[in-house]
Amino acid sequence: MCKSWRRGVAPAILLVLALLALSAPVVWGQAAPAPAPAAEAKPAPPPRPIPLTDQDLKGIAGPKPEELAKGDPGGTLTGTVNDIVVTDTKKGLTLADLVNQVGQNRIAINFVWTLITGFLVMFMQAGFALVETGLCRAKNAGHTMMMNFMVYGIGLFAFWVMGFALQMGGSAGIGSLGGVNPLSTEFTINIFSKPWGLFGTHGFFLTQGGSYDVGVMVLFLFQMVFMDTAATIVTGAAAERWKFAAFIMSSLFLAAITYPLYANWAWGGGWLSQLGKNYGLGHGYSDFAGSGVVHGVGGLTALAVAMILGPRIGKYNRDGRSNAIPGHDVVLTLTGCFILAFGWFGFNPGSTLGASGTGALRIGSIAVNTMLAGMTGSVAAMLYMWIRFGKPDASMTGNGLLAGLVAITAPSGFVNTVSACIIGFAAGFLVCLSVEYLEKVLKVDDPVGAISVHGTCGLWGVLSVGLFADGTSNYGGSWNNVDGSVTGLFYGDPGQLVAQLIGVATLLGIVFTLSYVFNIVVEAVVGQRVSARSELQGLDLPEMGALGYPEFQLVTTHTPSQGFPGA
Amino acid sequence: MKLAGLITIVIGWLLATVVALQIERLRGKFALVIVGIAVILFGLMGLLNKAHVKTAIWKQPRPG
Repeated sequence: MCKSWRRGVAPAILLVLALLALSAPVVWGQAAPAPAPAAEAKPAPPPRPIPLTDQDLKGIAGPKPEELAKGDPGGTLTGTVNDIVVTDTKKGLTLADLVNQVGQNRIAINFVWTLITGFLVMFMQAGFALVETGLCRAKNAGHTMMMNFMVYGIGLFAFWVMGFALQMGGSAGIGSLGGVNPLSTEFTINIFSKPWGLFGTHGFFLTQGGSYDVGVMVLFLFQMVFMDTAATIVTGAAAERWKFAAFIMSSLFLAAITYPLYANWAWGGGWLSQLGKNYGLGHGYSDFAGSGVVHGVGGLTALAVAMILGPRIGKYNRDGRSNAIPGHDVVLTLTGCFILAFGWFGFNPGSTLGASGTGALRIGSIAVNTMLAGMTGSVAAMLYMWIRFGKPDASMTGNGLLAGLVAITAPSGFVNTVSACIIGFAAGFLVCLSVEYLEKVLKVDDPVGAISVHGTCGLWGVLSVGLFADGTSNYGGSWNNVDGSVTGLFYGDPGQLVAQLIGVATLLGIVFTLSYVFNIVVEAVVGQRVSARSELQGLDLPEMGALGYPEFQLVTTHTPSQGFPGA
Repeated sequence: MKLAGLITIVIGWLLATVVALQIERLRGKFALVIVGIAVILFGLMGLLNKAHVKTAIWKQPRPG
């Protein structure tokens, strides 16, 4: 026992004592409380601000020409007082010049931001084209690509002629883009003594009503690419049997009338956005980047057209059981999904319409929310398919990503990351359930799942705002003319949910009906569907005059009942 | 039946918007909006879509 004491315990005790001795100044020194400081003298008042004058600016010198001539590898000589625009060279730099430059810089930042993000959204057209073509059969590849290609030009034309004016003609006051003041007239009616804005009346041909304006041009480009996203959704649900002429007429109507009307009501100062101001329902219908305005409109128009067209030949047996008709290229499909996910960084963050001032620095949060929702959507869909059918289906996983992105579009500017994950996850499940319901119960044939991705999950996104908006956003202190931040049910404002529900009702009740009625007229006048012969042959030759893959012999290697699980 | 479906959808929208917005209490508004949406969905799925499925291509007799 004495040996173990000397060898083990004693050195340990010595070590502890040494540590205590070393820590004494630190530990024991902190034990005693510091003496209370003597009462401080009252601090001197801050010096009175001395207003700047033009004279003060005279002394600020920029780098000399001989310095600049040597080059500026570090960037310290570029972007100085020399670069401020001087309006009167005789007077030199004035305070007015300086202040105007600050304002110009803010607007320039916002213009560049809005335009660049708009370019990203335009590129989503390629994503949609690849997704849809990949999910269709090879014999329809050329026709499907051509619809997605031309919807850009057709939609742009109709929107330039009249769609933009109807949508944004009364939306003056967008401070981040300089005010867009020429867009100052909204057609309004009174219903039970409340004003209901219905459509704008300035901006036809981007010249009428003073709309030949730098800020209006930026706004037009951004709004146009959103409209085109809605238009291209329809081509997916109607693929493999839609007449090209009918597609053109339907797209013209969507771009000129249907989309602009709903977008005016939501974004152009129309009645939906004023539900808060007029009826005390939260901040009115709030849709940050368009789950309802873009995806809901596109998805429900797609439903109307798909119902009128009817299912593809071979989709259903005589007993009503459905058959899987797999697409010809999953590589195209998933590549298209990635392009869409990339473009969505323009869709959601770009909807701040600026990166300077009025809460625009939230663009990072919006982008992260977008990524997270897309990710959880794809995971949920993959898990659903894996558990339910035994395999992680690629095309449904891609649709799950898109479903998450669609669902987060409306709430992206109002929610935190946890809510974003939940919204996307729910959308991933919802899209799988919706695809099955539409196919097996409603007997609506949707080759690419567009109605479920954009319609069903778009409506879910609209409702998500009314549930998850957390009241921390601040876009200039108000939203839709109601002070404060958009707040959902879970954070204390049930009125917001009611406003969102009214938006959902309007999408289902008015947008769907308008699309349905117009397309029934097209059916009567032109006919929506190609002949059975053309459909069986594939639309490339009869509709386009050329095969999408002219060098390949197209052979069916599967029967309709194989391939997709659950058929 | 298609026309009945469309009319039902529009009636549902009117219930969910114009009528609901006249009610003072928020719970009443909420209830009527939900009823309106239910009417819309009945018109859309129960009437309009059913009319289309009745004449669907897979129910038609084969030519010849």
